[in-house]
Amino acid sequence: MSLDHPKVIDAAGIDEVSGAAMLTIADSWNWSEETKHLLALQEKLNSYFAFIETGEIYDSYPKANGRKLVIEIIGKYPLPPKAQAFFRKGSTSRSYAQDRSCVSIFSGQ
Amino acid sequence: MVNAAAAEVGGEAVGAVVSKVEAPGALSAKTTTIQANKAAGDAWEKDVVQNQLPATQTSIQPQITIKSNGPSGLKVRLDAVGTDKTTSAIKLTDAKSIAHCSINIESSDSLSRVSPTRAEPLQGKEKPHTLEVLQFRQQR
Repeated sequence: MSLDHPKVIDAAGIDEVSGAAMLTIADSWNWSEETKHLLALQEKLNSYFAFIETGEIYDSYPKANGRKLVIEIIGKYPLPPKAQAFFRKGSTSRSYAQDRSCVSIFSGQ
Repeated sequence: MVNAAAAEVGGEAVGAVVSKVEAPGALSAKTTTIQANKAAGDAWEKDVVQNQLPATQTSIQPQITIKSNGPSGLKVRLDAVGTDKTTSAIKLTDAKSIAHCSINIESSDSLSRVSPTRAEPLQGKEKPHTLEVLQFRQQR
């Protein structure tokens, strides 16, 4: 269960079209407990950021070398409004925390 | 009144104490639910890795355990969910942004896309990298 294991990268791969290295979170949780779900996603995302920031990604997944990095969350259930807000906040948080990074959100809503 | 004395243990009614102890059947039901949730989660992860990702990705490597010590001390950190100290309410913290990294919002078909106006390489511990997109995709 992906969100139960925040220290695990669920999958890494190379996008066939963009060539970007994709780090996937397979999110199977429903949104009946929104806050719990968001906190779990937050913890998992921070682990993913650590994986990138420490450069560990290049040891564990050498194919990522020289590629753009994308964190993709594949959710089983639609995002509720609060979660959409979370991702928007998360996006700008990245910009704030590390002034050389920008992220964007791709929402299937 | 023997019965009344027997009904009180430590000032708490026996019935109340007994009601706090879950029946074996209830515990079993909880365990079953947890197992069912785990099975559903595992199945979802397997479906994503084996069926969904191969449609768009190559060289897929599942289940990489992170060795680093976690997010503490990170320069890049998501901290958007918090508790209001005054009201104890759960809230989404307003995040700060910097001017040169403002975002554009575009609409395309049924998708709402928020994209950066500019993305520059991050300088990691050893090698530069760019974290360009954080995206959410629903099950198709």
